[in-house]
Amino acid sequence: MRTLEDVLEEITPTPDPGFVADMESRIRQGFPRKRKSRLPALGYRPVLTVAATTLLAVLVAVSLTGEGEQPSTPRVAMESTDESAVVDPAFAPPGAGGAIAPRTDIRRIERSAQLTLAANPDEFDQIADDVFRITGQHQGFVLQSTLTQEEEEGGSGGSFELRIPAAQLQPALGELSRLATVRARSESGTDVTGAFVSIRDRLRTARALRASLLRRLELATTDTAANAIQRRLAIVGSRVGRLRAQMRDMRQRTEFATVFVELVDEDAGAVAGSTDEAVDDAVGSLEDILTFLIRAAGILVPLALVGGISWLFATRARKRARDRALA
Amino acid sequence: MDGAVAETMSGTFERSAPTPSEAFEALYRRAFPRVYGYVATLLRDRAGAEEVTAQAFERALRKRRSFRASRGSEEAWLFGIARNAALDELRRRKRRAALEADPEDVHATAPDEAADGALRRQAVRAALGRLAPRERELVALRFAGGLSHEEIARVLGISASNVGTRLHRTLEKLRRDCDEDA
Repeated sequence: MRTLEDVLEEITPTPDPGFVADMESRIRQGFPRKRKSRLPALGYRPVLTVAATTLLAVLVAVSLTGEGEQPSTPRVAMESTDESAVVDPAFAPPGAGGAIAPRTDIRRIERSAQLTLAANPDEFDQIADDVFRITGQHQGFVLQSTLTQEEEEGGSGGSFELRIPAAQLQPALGELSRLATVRARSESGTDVTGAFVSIRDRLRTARALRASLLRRLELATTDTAANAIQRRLAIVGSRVGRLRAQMRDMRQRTEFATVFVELVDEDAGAVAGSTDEAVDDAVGSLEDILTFLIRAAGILVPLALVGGISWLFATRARKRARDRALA
Repeated sequence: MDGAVAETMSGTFERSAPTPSEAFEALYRRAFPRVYGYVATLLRDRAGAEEVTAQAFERALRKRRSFRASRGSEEAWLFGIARNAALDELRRRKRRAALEADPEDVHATAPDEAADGALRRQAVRAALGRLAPRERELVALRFAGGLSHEEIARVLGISASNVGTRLHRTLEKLRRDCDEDA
């Protein structure tokens, strides 16, 4: 007598020979994919597209925000080889330019440069002479200079503060750079056109007022009136003097660039300097990477959380739906 | 299947291969009739069973790198895939009513069967048809699929002892039903 278990095994449906042969063939071929489009069946694809677009938009927004973090002072890059310090259309701000400085045909830019030269202390005297010579050749002058010669290693050094006509800045820097090994070089420029125009306008107004007062003084008929006008003339004259001094100072600052030249012992600074720079570079790179990772995490972590929770809900919903098929 | 073989299977699955690996083909040869039997018992439709069986093996082939021997045998893994495919098909075709209907052509009786045996099989089929779908699935996994209690537990996501209890009760119910028919 066969048991129930035997019968249950006996009544198990068996595949047709045709289906078996078909499966054998498909197994051998590795179930080649059908070429029909599966887009309609993939409901999550639009979601992925939207998520990718959102991510891209956020990244672009973040990068644009990063670019906006510029200092408010109009610093002007001095990488350009343009030697003109007074009229320089390349430095003019785009568009109306009113946000940075009033519209004007003359741009006033205060320029400065720092140069660190490394050389053997035995050559310091010769280099100092050359610094003076080059400064003079470019119609500049040395405002301050110090030169120290010490026996101990690293004790020697020198520094020079030069004023060089802005138009001569680039050729002068080029010649100074050839005197020794350039350890560091930086240039900067600040657009002071707004301040310059303001002083100029105030000076014009003060002069016009003074001229007017002088005319009124000539026409004064009483001593009292003449005395009052003279008191006002004294005040206005003092204001004109202050403004002229400011104009002179501003002209000097913009027509002459300030150049700081530092002279260092090439042996003393070489190893330490390069090591310090390497460490600084490494720290800087690490900070950049960390900044990027934090920004990326700020975007990706919430997206991943939302995606993960959605996936979890979808999986559970699908499982419940499958279970309901047998309910 | 023992653990050593399962590990071999896992290792073979993890290799990148454009065509089915020998291990997958061995799994196919070992499990194909049983998977078909299980799916056909669940769907009670020969054409549907063929389609779902092929779909299950195709999915298994594509997802073979997801198999982990530590989570159970490859048979349990394969039957899990087949079950999902069958349930998806049931949902899609709204076959719930058919599940509870009388057996279809998959259980057609051969004309030369002995009368006693045929009667006995007919009674069992009828009793099987009267079982609840979940109970019938349990019987199909055990007798059509030939899975152990542990493997069934893996497929259904319940404990092995629960499988044993439920299977025992289902068989008792089936036995009583058959006896009443007789």
